[in-house]
Amino acid sequence: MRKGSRLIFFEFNRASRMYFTLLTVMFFTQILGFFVMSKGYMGQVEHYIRTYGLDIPAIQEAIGIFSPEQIIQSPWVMAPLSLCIVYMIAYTFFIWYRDWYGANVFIYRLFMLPVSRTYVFISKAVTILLMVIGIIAFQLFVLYIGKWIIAGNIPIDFRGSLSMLDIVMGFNYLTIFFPFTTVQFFTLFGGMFIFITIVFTAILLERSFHLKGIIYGLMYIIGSIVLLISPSITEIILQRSFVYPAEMFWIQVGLFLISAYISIRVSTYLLEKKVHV
Amino acid sequence: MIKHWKTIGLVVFVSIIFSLFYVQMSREVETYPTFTLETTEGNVEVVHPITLYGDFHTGEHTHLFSYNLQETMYVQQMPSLERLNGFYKYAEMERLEQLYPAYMRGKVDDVSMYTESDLYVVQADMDWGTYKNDEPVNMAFNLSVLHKELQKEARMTIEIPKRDQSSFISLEKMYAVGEDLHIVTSHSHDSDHGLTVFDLRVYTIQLDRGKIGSTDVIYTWEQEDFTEDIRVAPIENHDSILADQRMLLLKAIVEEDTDIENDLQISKNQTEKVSYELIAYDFRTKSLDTFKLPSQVKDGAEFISYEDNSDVFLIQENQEKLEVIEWQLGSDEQPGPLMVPTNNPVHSYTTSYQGEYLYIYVNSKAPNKNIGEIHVLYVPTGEWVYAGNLMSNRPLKDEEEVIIHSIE
Repeated sequence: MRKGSRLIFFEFNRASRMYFTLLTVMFFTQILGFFVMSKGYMGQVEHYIRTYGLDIPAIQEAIGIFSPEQIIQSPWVMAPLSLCIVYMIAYTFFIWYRDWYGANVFIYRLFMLPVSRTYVFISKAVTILLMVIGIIAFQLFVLYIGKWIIAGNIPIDFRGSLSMLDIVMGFNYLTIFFPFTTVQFFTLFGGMFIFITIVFTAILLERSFHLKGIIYGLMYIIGSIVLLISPSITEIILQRSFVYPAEMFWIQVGLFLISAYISIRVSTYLLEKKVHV
Repeated sequence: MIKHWKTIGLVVFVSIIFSLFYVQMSREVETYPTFTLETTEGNVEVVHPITLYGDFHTGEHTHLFSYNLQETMYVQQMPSLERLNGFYKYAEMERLEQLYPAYMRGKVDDVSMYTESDLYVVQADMDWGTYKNDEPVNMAFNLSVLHKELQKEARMTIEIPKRDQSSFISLEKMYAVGEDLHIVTSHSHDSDHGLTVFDLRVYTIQLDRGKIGSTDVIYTWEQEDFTEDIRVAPIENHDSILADQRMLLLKAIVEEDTDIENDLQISKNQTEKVSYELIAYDFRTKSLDTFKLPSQVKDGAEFISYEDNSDVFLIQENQEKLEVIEWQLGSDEQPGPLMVPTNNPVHSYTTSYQGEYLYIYVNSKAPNKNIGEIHVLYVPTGEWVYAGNLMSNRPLKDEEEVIIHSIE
């Protein structure tokens, strides 16, 4: 356990410089967005008051009230968040390939460590997961600050709901990355961890069998996805369902655990027997 | 430890932010209004069996809630695992799930797709088939039939006769009676004159044989200018013997260039001149009777209940008030409407007929904490036996609104 956590510290340290740089960029861009957009809105309000002498209801009618959704869906928030998402997708591959193609063949040193290679695998997966959760938590943190900025700049008559629930729902389809309950938290990040292990296994297949490994890797990903969504596929093909929704949830949990187990076993085998340095 | 401050710091940061987030989430839901029922008249026990379902609109988002006269529960407060089975608990679905848990496993949560006789429970839906040369082919009824005594389920695909496979078929209603299932469908196709022709048909399916016993076209009309509209009366009382005997069809004849409301429950502008006829189709004799509805019935009137050979109950809005009309089917008498004793102008309403009680919930246009009113009619005597006000624990803000949309 201790060895495993050391590996996680080690992996995270290697990624931290770029990671914190991204978070910093995200912070300043988004905070700037909150200032610029809320001030811009109040500029409009003042313009209407000075030029036309309108009262509050008339202004609300003319330009609408300011909704945090406007900022959230603007490039000020979306661009840095998308950058982080793209970075994390890329880093999921980079975390392995760097060890082969970096300045030193670092994977050689990793394999020489007196720990099971399964730890190497899991520590990399946990690092990725931790970074993803960190980004989401950081996004929430920025939203808290953004909320204060809006509340400070825009009077209550001109702004929409500043409840965190309403603000987060402004992310539309990206809302799925914000778990509203602890069950959702474990479902979302558990599922994410399993998906990471599947992608890692595919990478290790490629590292083990090279060109053929790419095909094996793709087949592995497709096979895993088919396994995970097999209950839904069955329902679509047979055009009927067989279980209650709660039962379906537990079947999915079981399939995810099976998938994780298979990925870890296959990866351990590859790391111990097949991977070339 | 200190040299690993980055990782440890991130973990601590994540823990703090998510803890804060969850604490705030639960606190936010606590700022939503909660409700109590203040009885103004009658015995509160009459309303104990019901649950109100509604929406709380914050101006930007909508939050679903239920109120069972003891506690208000928002969807966010419902345990996640329970929520998987859906937020709305339809009394009829719960009853079927309790009685036939194995049969109901994997079935859709749509009350209108089920019917029950003393022998069978049936779930039916349409299989739209495929298109060949722009013509629909292989349209069928998909049935899932439970023999109640044997507890055996059979699945059937019953092809709709080729001659009936017109351009559009919709399944309107179904009634299981003994060993028969009556499926009412609406068909539309283009006539030779380029007009759309509609017809209503009843397919009688023998459930023990899994075959269509008879097909009857019970009503046909050409829809030239949308002044005529036929609907199967929305009678939701599952225990009604109406299903065994007679089906009611509502025919609305509206003056030209006026719109017809799609949903009888929605009513706003009642000024158009509309006359109604009620067509009763008897499953036993396969005969049709047409009745002229009392002249007090307006566009937007909603059927509440009808038991065979008994009175038809309708509800409608009339100048910001609600009125219930009780009418003996076929009678020439012009019954006086029974006014729902509301205290505030009606914004919208919903009804539920349970046992011998008619529950009417009225969303009021009342200020402050008064969200709406509940009135209960004891149908056999026509007496109002209960009245109560639904009160919010706090006044609603200008942009907030609470709408109760169903009673279960």
